Order: sequence, then C-alpha cells, then structure tokens
Amino acid sequence: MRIPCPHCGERGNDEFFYLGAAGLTRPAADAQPEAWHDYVYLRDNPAGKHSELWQHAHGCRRWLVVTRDTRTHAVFSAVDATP
Amino acid sequence: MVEHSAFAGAQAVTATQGGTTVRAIEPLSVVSVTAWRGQEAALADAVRATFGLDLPQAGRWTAHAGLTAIWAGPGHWWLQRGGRSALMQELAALGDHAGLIDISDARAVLRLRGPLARDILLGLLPLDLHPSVFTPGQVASTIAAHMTVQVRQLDDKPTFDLSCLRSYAGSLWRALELASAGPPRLSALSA
Ligand SMILES: [Zn+2]
Repeated sequence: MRIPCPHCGERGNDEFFYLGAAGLTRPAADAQPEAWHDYVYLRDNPAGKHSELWQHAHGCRRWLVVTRDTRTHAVFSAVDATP
Repeated sequence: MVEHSAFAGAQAVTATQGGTTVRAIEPLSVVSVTAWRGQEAALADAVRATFGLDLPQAGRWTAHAGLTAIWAGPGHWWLQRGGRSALMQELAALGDHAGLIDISDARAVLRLRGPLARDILLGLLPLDLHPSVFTPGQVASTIAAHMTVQVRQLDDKPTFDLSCLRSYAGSLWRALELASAGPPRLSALSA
C-alpha cells in the first residue's frame, strides 16, 4: 500500500506507523464505564471505506488521517490529523 | 574534548568503487529549528534578514555562505554548518520564533559521490531517484534497511548526503556496502 503524504508525496506504508480508527470521540471523564469500554475496546471493522490514523514516522513525522478501501488498499485521501 | 568518528567501527572512513566514493562528513553542527505555532513567516523573515538565507519549501534544501537549511517537515528545518561551530549561539535570536535543539551529536552523515551513487542508492532506498524526479536541491526522509535516513542531493555528479542517527552509523555503512555489492540497475537500464 502506498500513502500520498500531503507533505512528502507518495511513499510506501513501511515509512508509516499505524494507530487505528480516526475520529473516535473521547467520552467525558465522568461517563459510564460502558462508554469508556466502547471507546477503548470496540471498533467497527468495515469492508470498504475506512478512515485511520497513520504517522509518517520515517518522513515528516506528521500524523495523518488516511481514508482507504480496506478491501483494495485504494487510498481516497490523506490529510493532516491536526491543522 | 576528543572527536571520535561515528564510523570508527567501519573498515575505512573512505571507500571507492568505480570512481564512486563514500566518506563520512564530520564533524557537523546541526540545529533543529521548529517554528512556534503561527510563527513560520516571522521565522523565515528572521532567517532571511540575519543570514541572507531563504528557508526551503517542502522537500528542498537551500544554502548561503556556508549555512545550509534543510526542510525536515511542516514548520521544521535543520540548520547546518560544517565543522564544530557555536551554531546554537549564532541562531539564538531565532528562539523568539522557534524551538532550537542542538542535534550535532545525534547525527552521522555519509557522502556518496560519483557515477554509481544513484545505482547504489536504488538498492537501499524506497524512493524514485530517477534524475527526472529527484534532483539537486531536493531532500527526503525515508527508510534504509529499517533506519530513518534523510537523503539530500547536492549536485549532478551525482552527490548525495545520507544522514542517520549517530548510533546507526555503523549499520548504515554496512547497508551501503551491501547495496554497493549489488548489480548496477539504473545505468544498465538506460544504457
Ligand atoms: Zn510526510
């Protein structure tokens, strides 16, 4: 799989560290344990479009949100995770 | 203080093959410069006013009067001078706009120069180094044998500088040796 880093250009995925699903919402500090369990452990596992956090660890070191097709590894977009 | 080569464990600090040489570039003074949020333009102005140097765009490096600026990421550059110099003091005024870290002792640099340089790197780096794609003035941070390596093209001989963490210096030397032992690729294809 090749990831088009918005800063460095297209690179092989072995230059990146993978974290997991992007866009998780952290529960409030006083949320119920069920909400924390969901946040920490439970993940969707879509066959298709999926947004994930990848860090260009061997390149520009930026965290990116990469949206790809989990079936084909086609990448739809790669943008900075934070502005 | 006694300077020790980062490549002291290598068989030689200079090696030659087919008119292509590799040698250690040391000592070097290197300072990591990271613009504070919203201070990139002010930092660029200060560098231009003080050193007559334009901070490079993404994937590029610039130099003026012995001071080299290497892009290292968004809002992040390395400023570098040959030899041991008081670079931190020289750059101190930039501290109004950026975080400065002296990384001189954290880095080791090999310079690969000559007709086989590109062919050797093709066996080491997962980058497109074709002269139509990667040219003098460009820099990229990538992997070489699992190590993070910054590769910078200096000229058309071609000459490349490879910078790695100092503790990986011996491993990078060995990886270059192995890459050098492989068959030439690009020149054979274009011959
Ligand atoms: Zn990058």
